[in-house]
Amino acid sequence: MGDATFRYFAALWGSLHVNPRTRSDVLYEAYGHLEERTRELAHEGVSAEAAEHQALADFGDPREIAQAYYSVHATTRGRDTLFAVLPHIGIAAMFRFHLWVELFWVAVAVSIAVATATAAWRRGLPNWTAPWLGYALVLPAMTWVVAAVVVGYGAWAFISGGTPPLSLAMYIAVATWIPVATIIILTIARRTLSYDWLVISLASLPLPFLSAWLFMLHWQGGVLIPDRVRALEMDTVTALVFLALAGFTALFMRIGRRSWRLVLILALVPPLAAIATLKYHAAADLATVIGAIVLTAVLLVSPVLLDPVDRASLRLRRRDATS
Amino acid sequence: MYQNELLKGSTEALLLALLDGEAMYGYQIVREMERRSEGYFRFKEGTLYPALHRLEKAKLVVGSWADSATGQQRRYYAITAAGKRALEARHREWQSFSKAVSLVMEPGS
Repeated sequence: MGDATFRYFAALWGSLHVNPRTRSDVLYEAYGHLEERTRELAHEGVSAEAAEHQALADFGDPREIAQAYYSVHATTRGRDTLFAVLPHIGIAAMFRFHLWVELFWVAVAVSIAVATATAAWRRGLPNWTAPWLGYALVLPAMTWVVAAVVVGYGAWAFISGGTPPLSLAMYIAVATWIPVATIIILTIARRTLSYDWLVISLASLPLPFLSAWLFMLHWQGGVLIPDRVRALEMDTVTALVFLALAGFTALFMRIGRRSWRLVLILALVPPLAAIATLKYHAAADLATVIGAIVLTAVLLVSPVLLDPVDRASLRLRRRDATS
Repeated sequence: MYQNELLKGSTEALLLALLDGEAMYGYQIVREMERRSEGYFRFKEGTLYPALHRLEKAKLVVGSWADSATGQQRRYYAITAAGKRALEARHREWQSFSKAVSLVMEPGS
């Protein structure tokens, strides 16, 4: 097999956004097929180079083939789609029935999300996993931010006043959590990226909405204050936002074209973030709304920068374009 | 063009029919399809594999790696019980369809 085959496989690999095991099966099957076809053509008297080109041409465009695999392996129907939307519906129910104020129900929700995401992790991340992963990661992600603030504030208080705001043991425990949470988040992100960066985007869907909601609580005096009348008034709005995310997820999981998925995520989610911002903060100005749209879009698209398959594919295309 | 449309709509039924007799791997399926159709069915060979994966996802066939006659590892596809039932249903559908087409296109024959 020569340079043409190498380029063909580089293009196929770079366009295949399926789980690593399927990717390996696809490449081995394609290689076996091309090897056999090339050998057969050579037996018929075709020159080695012509046989290689003929076999590749008969096999078809690698990007179209990769797209066909994507529509088979990345989409879900029926029970799997229901499983994918369940966490959004569960969170919507928690808001609708004001369960988020009870620590017990929050603990139950987090435990279910972590247990389901762990089970899915062990089963090789089936397609319905992404939303569960997202909710399971909310806790480490948010506690990471809080721990970073506490560590920074503690260091500043110690340097400027000489007295730490926390006991040393507590301070060390909080500081230790930062690398632990970082490792958890990066390990999950790294494995998920080996499938498709859009899976991380789908997992990240709740983050802008939960952040906007937490900001609203913060501006009203904090998460732990007893008077949450305004926040409770907003619970129906928040429940509707998460139901909208459930509907979006169901639609996303049915679409077999990766480019359409990207268009859908950018066309629907940032405007939803803008609506949520306006509902939570009636006095929000245009700059705040545009900021919510841009930040949400950036958050959802930023995993592309980490995707090894897309980056390698881009490098190959650039090299092909310049050679 | 019309032939491609017909093939597109029937690929999965044809694959199930081919696998009904014995388990086969991709290249073998392509050659067998050409042989049985006397060269009528020709398509981009790479498009066959996603169709096989679709059948596998629907649990109509099952794929497994095994040594081929030449000693190389190949992924063999075998029809399942659900695949056999689906094939029977599609076969019946096809017979009704082709009979109806003949009645319309060849009246009085």
